[in-house]
Amino acid sequence: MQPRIDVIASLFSGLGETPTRTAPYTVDGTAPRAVVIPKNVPTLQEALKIAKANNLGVLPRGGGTMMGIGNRPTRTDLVLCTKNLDTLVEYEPADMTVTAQAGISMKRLRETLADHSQFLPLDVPLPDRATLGGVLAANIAGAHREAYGTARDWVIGIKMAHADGSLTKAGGKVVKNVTGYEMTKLYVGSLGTLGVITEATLKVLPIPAVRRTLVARFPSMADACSAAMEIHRAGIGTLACVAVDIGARPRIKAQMPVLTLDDALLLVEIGGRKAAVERRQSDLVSLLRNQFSVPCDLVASDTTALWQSLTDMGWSTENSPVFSMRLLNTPTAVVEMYPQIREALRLESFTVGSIMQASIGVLRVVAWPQPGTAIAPKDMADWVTAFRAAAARTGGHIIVEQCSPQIKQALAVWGEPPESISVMRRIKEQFDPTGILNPGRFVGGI
Amino acid sequence: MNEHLILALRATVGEQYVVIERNDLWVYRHDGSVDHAWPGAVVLPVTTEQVSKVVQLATAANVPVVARGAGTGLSGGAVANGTILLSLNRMRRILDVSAANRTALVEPGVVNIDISKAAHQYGLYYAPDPSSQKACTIGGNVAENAGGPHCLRYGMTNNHVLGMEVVLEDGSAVWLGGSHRDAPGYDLAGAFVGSEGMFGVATKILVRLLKEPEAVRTYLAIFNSMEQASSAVSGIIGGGIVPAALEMMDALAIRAVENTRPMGYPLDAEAVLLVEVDGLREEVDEDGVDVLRICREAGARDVRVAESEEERERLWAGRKGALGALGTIAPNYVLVDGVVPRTRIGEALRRVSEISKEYGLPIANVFHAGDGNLHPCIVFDERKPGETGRALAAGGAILKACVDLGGALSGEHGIGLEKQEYMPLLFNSDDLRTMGWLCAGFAPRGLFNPGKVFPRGAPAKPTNVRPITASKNGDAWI
Ligand SMILES: Cc1cc2nc3c(=O)[nH]c(=O)nc-3n(C[C@H](O)[C@H](O)[C@H](O)COP(=O)(O)OP(=O)(O)OC[C@H]3O[C@@H](n4cnc5c(N)ncnc54)[C@H](O)[C@@H]3O)c2cc1C
Repeated sequence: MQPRIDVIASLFSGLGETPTRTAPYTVDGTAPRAVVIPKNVPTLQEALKIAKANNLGVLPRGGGTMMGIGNRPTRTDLVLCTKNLDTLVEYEPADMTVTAQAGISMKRLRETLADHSQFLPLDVPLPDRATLGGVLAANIAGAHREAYGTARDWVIGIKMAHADGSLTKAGGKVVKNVTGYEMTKLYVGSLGTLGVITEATLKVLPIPAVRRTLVARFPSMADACSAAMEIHRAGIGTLACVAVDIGARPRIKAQMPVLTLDDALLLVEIGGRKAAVERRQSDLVSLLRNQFSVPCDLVASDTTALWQSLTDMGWSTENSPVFSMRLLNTPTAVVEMYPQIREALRLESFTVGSIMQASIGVLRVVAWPQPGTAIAPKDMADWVTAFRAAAARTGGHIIVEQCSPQIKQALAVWGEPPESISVMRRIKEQFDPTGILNPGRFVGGI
Repeated sequence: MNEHLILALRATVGEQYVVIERNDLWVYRHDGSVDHAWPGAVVLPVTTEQVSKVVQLATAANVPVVARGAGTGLSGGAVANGTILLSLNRMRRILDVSAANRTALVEPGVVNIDISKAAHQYGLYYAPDPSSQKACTIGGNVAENAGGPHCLRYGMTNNHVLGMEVVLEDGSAVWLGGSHRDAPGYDLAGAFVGSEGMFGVATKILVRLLKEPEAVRTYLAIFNSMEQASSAVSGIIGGGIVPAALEMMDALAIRAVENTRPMGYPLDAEAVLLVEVDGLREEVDEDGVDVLRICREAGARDVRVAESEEERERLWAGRKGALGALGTIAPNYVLVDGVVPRTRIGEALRRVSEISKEYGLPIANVFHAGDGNLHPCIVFDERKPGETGRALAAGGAILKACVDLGGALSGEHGIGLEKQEYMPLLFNSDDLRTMGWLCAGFAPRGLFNPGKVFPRGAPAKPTNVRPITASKNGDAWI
């Protein structure tokens, strides 16, 4: 039995801020019945205990930049927000590791590291709001993954508050560690369904001495992707290499060539020490000239801002999309499916922007509404289902990142659960036997 | 072991592939540590289907299954007591090398170095290089999350394994992870790596391949003190250089090497660093200049550069031969695998040398300095009364010192039987419980490799006392 609605907020009094206006914390169209922003880790643990005792569904939240990810929660009782757990716990630049609480903003973390010419090589949308904990839980990867991997490759320790209110640690502070199982791998990307991350330790890297971005224009995404594959094959050692279409171009904060409808831009970032970067640049320029007869120019604008704007595409709240998705498939299949997906969305009268990382088979598509267009949830769901079936033929997936609650009602955002779903369910049962953490949001309704 | 079970196992994999005779079981008693036990039966399947069937039979008979690769593990992981020992040595096919995707799909019994050999024709290689790479299997690497000298720059096994087919307790074979990134759900492939054989049996493994570097350069820096060498390590890492490898050897190790097989290391040196940089020619030049300068500034009295591939191999041979060479000092050793934050290496080495004095036993250091992974090697003679106990106690003291310095019990060899009683130094019962939850998610009955990793509550028992002469390979190195 759950307590009455007016009683719920009072259960958490004294644990931190408890905003009475819960509307700003709405998830998938539903405002939570209570919001708690614990002031420290013990009060966060206490909040979990209370939630469990009262069988309340708990939605952990960091900066709230990605609360739209996942299925609609089956229960939206308590939003548990980590943003006040924002201490930088330990940073020893010479160890090349940093430990911070989950609520620290990625921007602050980034600035702290930059003071020592170090960085965490993760592409994080909206870093001024996104928190470390949220970034790890959601585990969204961006353009630099081909060079640096994803969050799982950088996290070496995690502290986690569990459904029963206990607090545990996994991993540690050393860069090489096989003491016990790799719990950190389980936690990264678990989307708050196994516990609430309260602290993490990560490896960091020295910032490359020189970073440059080059741009080349191609008559189609397919051509740009062939070039990307060739660059990959040649082993030039790019930091990022993506093809973007005309819809994505206006989102890029840099001077970019003008495009016609089917054109594409190839954006390539290179980095390292001076001589190595010169060498990469000249290899790149000659490859594109000799094999594709395409000129390749240095982008004058700030490289960091350029790539951040690409990372932010489709996440900012001012211009929020109606729909965004990732297609993960073989490079060939991704290139083949791109025009079909774009066309389907354009038929719905959306503005469509796409970013493709051909060499690793990732396509991100964002659709913005045009004034006066309405979405038919059922059509969208049918459409995604059809493309999913096509992707599945080559072993691929479509993950819907953002869409309206109405579409979610007709669609499992993660697609068909993988064959290992029974293991996932058993793990969930062990960690959260009564299913209070982010209920229903994850794969297969976990 | 139950006769019906043996018959059923034989019917599954073939008569000759179920070993139960004591004489034949002898070689399966050990892994690379000293822990040993008699397995009930050794079963050698050759397909995933056979593994599934064997696991089903074992589940039905309630007999645990311990997977085994090459048995080079250093923590007792592949030691089976009365149970089925599932040897994966017949499953050694490289199923696919894809130059376009830069991946290789292999069976678990494939020997680590053979992946790089198969990939070489495409200019690719498999990065994790445990020193046992000529013998150890990829299945064992996955189970231990194996490291190696070049993991400093390129990461451990877990950074290079994309997915695997795993046989679970009910005999089902499921894929974890795979070639497509961001497959929805928990990162089960990541969690499986390092699970020490307790989650299931890996029957196929998909690994990532890297492009062979265009250029490689190897330096040998010679120092008059460990402090100087340690400060060169800090200088290199702190200077923003991430070398491919950064290894240290102390005086005891140097002398042992020179006494066995002279490599031209100065006998009066207190420490040497082996530093390797790789990448584009330009990168190697730029990093190389800095490495030279930093080593000299830290007080290196000489820095040699390998001018040819032969010279490079020679420089590495000294490092590689170190462990075997320690046999010239005393007949046994305890090998410790503790890790400390890089900035604490100097302190950790001082503690190791104090512990050496306290316990009256020589300790050699040959280790992965760049990532703070110590390998203090406590040498002793088991024939001298009390020395074994003293050596083990010294090993425990070193692990405790590592933990006190903010480190961990094992950097790459795993916990297994060897270090299970030390787990509480790092993890409390709540922490350990979460590991139990994860294990139960994969293997609710605890069929696989039971009794490892988690402390049994008993005091630390004598383990990892290994006669050096029994080392698997003359040029073994750690
Ligand atoms: C001389 C020497 C040098 C070494 N150097 C290094 C080094 O530099 N770095 C390093 O990390 N390690 C090193 N090791 C340790 C050892 O080689 C590694 O741990 C290696 O990964 C073990 O592989 P293996 O095939 O021998 O596994 P085994 O010893 O046979 O088994 C190890 C564990 O893996 C499990 N296992 C094996 N196959 C499977 C499978 N298919 N599915 C599930 N579980 C399985 C076993 O049950 C066991 O728990 C060294 C060892 C020696 C003897």
